[in-house]
Amino acid sequence: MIALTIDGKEIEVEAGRTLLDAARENGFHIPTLCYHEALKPYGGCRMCVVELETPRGPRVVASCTYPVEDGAVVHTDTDQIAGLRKVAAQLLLARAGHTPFIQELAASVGVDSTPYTLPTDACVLCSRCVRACREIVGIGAISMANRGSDRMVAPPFSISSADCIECATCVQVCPTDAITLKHITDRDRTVHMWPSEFARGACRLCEYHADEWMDVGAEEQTVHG
Amino acid sequence: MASSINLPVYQPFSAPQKPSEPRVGVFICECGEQITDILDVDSLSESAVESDDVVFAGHAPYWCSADGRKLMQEKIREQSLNRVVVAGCSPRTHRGIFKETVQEEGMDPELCGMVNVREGCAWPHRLDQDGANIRARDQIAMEVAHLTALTPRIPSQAEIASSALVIGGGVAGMTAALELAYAGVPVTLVDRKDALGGTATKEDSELAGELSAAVEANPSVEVRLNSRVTGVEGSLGSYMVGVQNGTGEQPRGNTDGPFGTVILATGEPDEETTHLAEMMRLPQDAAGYLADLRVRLRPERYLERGFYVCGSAHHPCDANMAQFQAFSAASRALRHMGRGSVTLRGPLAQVDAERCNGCSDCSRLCPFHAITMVERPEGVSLSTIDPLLCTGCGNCVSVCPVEAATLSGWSDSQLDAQMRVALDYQDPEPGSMLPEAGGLGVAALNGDREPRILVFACEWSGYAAAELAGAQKRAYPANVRVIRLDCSGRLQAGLIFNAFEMGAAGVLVLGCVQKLCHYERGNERAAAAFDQVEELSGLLGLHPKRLKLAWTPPDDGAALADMISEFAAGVDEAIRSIV
Repeated sequence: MIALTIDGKEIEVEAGRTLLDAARENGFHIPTLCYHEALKPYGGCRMCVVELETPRGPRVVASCTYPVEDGAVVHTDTDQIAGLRKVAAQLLLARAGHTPFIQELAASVGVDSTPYTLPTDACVLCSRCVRACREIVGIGAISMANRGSDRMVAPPFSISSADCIECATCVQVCPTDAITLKHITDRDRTVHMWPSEFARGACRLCEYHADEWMDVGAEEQTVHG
Repeated sequence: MASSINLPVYQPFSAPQKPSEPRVGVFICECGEQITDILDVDSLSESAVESDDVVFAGHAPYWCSADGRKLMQEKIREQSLNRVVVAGCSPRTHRGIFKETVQEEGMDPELCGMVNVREGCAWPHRLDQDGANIRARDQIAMEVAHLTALTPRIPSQAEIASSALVIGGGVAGMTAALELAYAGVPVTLVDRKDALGGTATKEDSELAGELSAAVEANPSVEVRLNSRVTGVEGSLGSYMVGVQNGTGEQPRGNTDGPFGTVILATGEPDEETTHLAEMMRLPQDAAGYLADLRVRLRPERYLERGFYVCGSAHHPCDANMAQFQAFSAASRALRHMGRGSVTLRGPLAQVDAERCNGCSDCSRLCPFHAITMVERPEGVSLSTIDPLLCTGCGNCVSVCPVEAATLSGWSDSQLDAQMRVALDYQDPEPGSMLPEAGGLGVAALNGDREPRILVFACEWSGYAAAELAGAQKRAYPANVRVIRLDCSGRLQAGLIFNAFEMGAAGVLVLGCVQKLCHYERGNERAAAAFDQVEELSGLLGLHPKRLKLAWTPPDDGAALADMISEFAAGVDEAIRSIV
């Protein structure tokens, strides 16, 4: 058993747990976004940050990924932590402030407005959908693509996924209702083959419902490929 | 007649083992504090224990947490539980966790079920707390009844042999064969011509030449020229293939194998392609091109057959694309063979040999070609279901005219047990003319019993949409009782009539949108069963507003909530109009 202190309270937990688990099981409230009980922790949203006391001063860590250590002294609600959560919430509001979940999350840390301006997008890149598809469903039809401000969730090459089983688990775990099946298996698929571009007809299900291809315009060529 | 994949020996159906006396544990999750302001978990625990078979019921903040799971395992040991029901959030996200938990404790994971009392009951009915609690109590009791009536199947084992057959020695075939050989898999490469190279054009002749030299030099690849495949038999992972060697007057045939995978790189389609496709039950499009079956089922419940198509047999392509596809096919084949030994669980259809009348409706209907008709010396052929190919959709059960097919996991007795709880149905007193709470209209008006709507929801469509509606906190009436099915095709008209006889005010069937059934054509089966009910409903005095079939996309919670609300209002109106 590991003995640690959270906000002054001494608690004991089994080795291998995270600070977040230890805190929640002992009644401490820590806000989270990208955390989901059925998924491995990601540590991406930074809402769950806590302070760990170290000989060189306080250290900020993501409690969802940080393992419990014997003798650790943890603070879940210092000024620094409040400040960091506030900035994270403000950035989230700037991006997805139109979604109820983000509004509620921001409100829970005392934030209701934002000084930042970002392109609006319901997807906050929490990766719950990606992790759900990989870990719960076992398929991994979608992943994070690109980096920086181009980062997004997409099937490989942004082409209609052949592996998606349309179970809608991703839709269910998305906190902001940002993803729908259309994003993964849309009806049209464009395959770029130099020098021509062929637009495929409706092939959402499988490759052999040929009768569904028939309603394509004269300009497009339907090539099975 | 073309050879087809079938079991080598006809195995008579043996009566399933009587389940040991059920000892059910009900674990109610508080989900932190997300549902305790709506659901009374103490009261739910007390109600749960009232079922005869429930020996333990308790609630905890997070059963899915590490501590929660440990406690659950302790309870399983302590109370010798052999069935577990977890009432919490979504089985679609959490059932894996709990199945693993009980399996670690030596319990069959199929005997662990989940009920969604959060998105399922608490959240959509937050404005009707009484309704939410009654519904939660009933849904838990339904799952208990479902598991108690379940006779678990014996898991099936498959060994995937690490050896491959490649049909076609063109650019695609040779590339695939070499990839497999480099990975250490012995390959048999068959081609009907007398030389490798396929239809490589002049531009690609250098590539083709390099590939055939590499193939011939590779000790792991056995090349059989002037050869054709005449039959593919055996079971998944262990295919035995008939190869006919040589042209001319004396073709010699022998059987090769066992092969774990077969790669088809047979080039532009012709009549032989069609022959092969029929033999191996591979879909062909209008122009004859072969396709891999696109399966939209969960990986743990479905085992791919190990057939992969590449090159211009798949669609017109140049040598570059053919190679690309060959790499892809080889890598999927390697992943499949890498599984080694596989255990399959989950619902499984079986046929009672004594009841089967050889009509073969099931065999023609099965979308996964899992059913073959095997001749019997004493007369009618017997429908035989390959347990490695059966996905448990239940379509065969629904279509069987003599109730010979049953589905462990969704048997008639399990559905009956759930319906009785959902509709609070008691068998009539012996000797009474009318059932106590029966009659297609009478029951619904019975005193102060609230009208109940039975919803048969397929996991992939209506059930998913209902969970989403709950997650989005959209409200709909709480007098619904949802029975989750793997496929709407499991429904027979009889079941729907039973529901009305048991006192359902309304019956709502939710299936996948047209052409999007995950079991290929299950929703068409459901439509057929529903049509039968609808046709007779007029004769039976069943108001049309009391039944509905809806094709439901899984990702539109709002539409589902609205539709249920509208349906419930219609049912209400219909019942009042009877008086």
